Amino acid sequence: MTYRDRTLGSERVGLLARRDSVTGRLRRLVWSMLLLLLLVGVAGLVEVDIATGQVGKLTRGYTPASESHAAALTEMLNAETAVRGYVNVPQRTFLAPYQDSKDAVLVSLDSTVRSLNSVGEHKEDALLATERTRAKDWLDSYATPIAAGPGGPASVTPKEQQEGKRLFDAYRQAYEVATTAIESRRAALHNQANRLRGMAIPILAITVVLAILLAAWLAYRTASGISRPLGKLWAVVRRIDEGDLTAQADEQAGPSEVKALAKAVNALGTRARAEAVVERDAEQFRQRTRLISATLRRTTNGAQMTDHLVRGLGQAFEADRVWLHTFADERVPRLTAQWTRDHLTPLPDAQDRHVEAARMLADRLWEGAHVVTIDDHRTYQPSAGGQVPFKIAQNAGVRASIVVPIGDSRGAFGLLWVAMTDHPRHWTVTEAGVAQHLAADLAHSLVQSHVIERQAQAVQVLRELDQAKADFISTVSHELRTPLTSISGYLEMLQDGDAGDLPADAARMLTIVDRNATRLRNLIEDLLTQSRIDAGRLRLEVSRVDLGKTLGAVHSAMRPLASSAAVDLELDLTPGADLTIIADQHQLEQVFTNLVSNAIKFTASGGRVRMMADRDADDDGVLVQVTDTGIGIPEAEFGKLFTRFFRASNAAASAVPGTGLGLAIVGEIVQRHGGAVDVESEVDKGSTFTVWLPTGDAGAGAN
Amino acid sequence: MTESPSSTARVALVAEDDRDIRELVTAKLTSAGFEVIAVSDGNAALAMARERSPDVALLDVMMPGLSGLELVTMLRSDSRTSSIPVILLTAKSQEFDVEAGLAHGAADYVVKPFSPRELVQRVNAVLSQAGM
Repeated sequence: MTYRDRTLGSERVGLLARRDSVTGRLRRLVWSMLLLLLLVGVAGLVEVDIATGQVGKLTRGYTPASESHAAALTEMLNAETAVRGYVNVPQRTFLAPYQDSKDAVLVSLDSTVRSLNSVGEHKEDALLATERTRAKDWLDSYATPIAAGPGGPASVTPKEQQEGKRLFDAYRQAYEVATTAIESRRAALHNQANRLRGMAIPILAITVVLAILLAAWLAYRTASGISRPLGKLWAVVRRIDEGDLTAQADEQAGPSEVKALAKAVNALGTRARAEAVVERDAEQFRQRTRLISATLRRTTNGAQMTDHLVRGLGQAFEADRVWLHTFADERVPRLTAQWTRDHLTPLPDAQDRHVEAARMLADRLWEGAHVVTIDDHRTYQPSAGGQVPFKIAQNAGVRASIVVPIGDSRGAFGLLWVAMTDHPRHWTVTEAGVAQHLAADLAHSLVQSHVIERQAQAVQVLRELDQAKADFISTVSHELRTPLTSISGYLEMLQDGDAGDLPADAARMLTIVDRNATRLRNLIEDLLTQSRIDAGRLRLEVSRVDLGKTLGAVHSAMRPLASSAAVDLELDLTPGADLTIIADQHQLEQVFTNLVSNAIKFTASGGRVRMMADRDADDDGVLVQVTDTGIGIPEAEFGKLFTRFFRASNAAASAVPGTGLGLAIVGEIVQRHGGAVDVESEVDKGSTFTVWLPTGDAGAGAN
Repeated sequence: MTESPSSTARVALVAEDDRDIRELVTAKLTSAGFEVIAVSDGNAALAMARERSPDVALLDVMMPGLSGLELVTMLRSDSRTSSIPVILLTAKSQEFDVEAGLAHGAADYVVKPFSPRELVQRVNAVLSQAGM
């Protein structure tokens, strides 16, 4: 799996210079704001300037002009009053105000003109000039008479008075015209200033509002231009974070930083997808190897295990060849398995020297506890002494290999070889680990299954031997019965007198023969029963059994034995007791025969053996007791009495013959009938064996 | 049952491969008044049963040729021999499937080693059951 490692660094270069960058946009926003502020400021300033210009005109020009104009009128009136006084009383002193005002009028008028000149453009100059001329005309008209001075005849003539009055009126007219112009102009300016002041506030307010709106719009544009693509990008990142690796960011939308981020996110997404693929492949790989391990454990057949392993490994590793060999070793069966990719022909069977070389390599690797991974055989330098297998492999066309020894704590017993032909290959640590792990699994399974197999074989052999023994005993017992049939049959006929009366000695001899034939028959029965028990073939052939009759039969069969041993054999049945039970009559006969023959055997001559039977106190079974006055049994040995082949220590010491089968059979049969045997004994005093047998369904009247 | 043994003696067929047992049974039954036909294998027993129609047949279970069990089945399936009561002689009290033997049509069975006296009693019992 290869993927390009995209470098994001280059995307950042020159990012700040971009016009559509976030910084650029913010910068443009800031500049726009500043410009707006400037515009609003300038507009305000212009308005203020216009307003103050008007006021300035008023304050600098028209107001002083108006005042000096009025002053000029006052001076003229003073002069005229003085002149009129002088005319009436021609005394020079009356002329003083005239003399004072004559110049002051002109000065005031000139001041008025100057004031207006300072305003700049104005239209009153001509009017003022006319007024000045009229004022001067009037003033001059009195200059000559007045200059003639007092004392002279130069009093003012009425004509001159008339002329002076006309000239003054003309002046007054010019003044009125001028002052009307000045005042109206002044009023106009005043109004204009007021109007401008009234307009400035709304205009400024509107300008500010417009500027705010414009600023808000710009800010909105900028913000949305940044936040919308960022929001989309965020959504993509969230999707990726939630595991949707297919999510793609739009690399063409938004400012350059967002585009760069989108590219980065896409690059990360691509890498995550690539890693997901790698992880999925790795998981599949692990899954496959787990499957191989599981399969190994499912079978106990070594050949199946190795076949599974080579096939599984070959498929999981996508290898060309997998070869596995176990060497001659007591721990594992000798196995060879190989797997090849479809188009390849399998390798021929390994030659002995190849196997030997492989074995040496396996031993060497096992000692070093390592796995050999060879990416390319052409550049691989095997250590000295280990070249042979690699040379063989290379000759077989192998280019890359993983070689793993197979073994357990006692050393290697096999070799696993995973190979690529034609092309070199880089083996990962995981692959090497997996190969080693699987080889260990295989080793464990192989050893274990081999042990199990060998145990199973041993068990099978033992079982067969046991069966053969059981069959042998059974056969022998049967074969013994056939001659015994003739012996005891003819014996009975002889004793019955079928061949005529016998001499007393012969009859006595035949009694001995009969006794031993009986003993022999009992021995054979015991052997046969024991072999049936061992083989699990002892079956109960149950029927209604009258234990009284059975005990009677045993009593009469044992009587010859008892009398020959000079032992008194008694049968004591409780009169009227119902001794019928459901049982195997033949087997119970054997039980009581064994108990009675034992009792007789261990009782010295002159002793007594007593058979008793009765219903038990609970009335759900029958109790049979066989009591003797024999040598007794040590109490410590009670527990072992019913073990087969066990013989009481004092029995063996007294050289009383026996097989040790009798009581074991008694115990087994009674147990199978659901009954119990109890023993009480005192050494040298005697023993009592008590057998309890359940009634079974006897009361219900089974056959 | 008052006829003299010589003329109207009941005929017993004895099939037993062990010569001594065959002679023992023959001797005992003869002394008990039977006319005994003794054979040593199953095929001969079948032939004799068909030829002589004995009153009773004592068949060893384990014999060369036909076994006692097979013989019982064949005797039962043949109308000429189907009424002959059969007593099986067996050395195997357990392995011998008594139920199977009786189901095949045997009237009784005796386990070796048996008492000749008891054998005669059983034969008489079987015959009296069969109404002879």
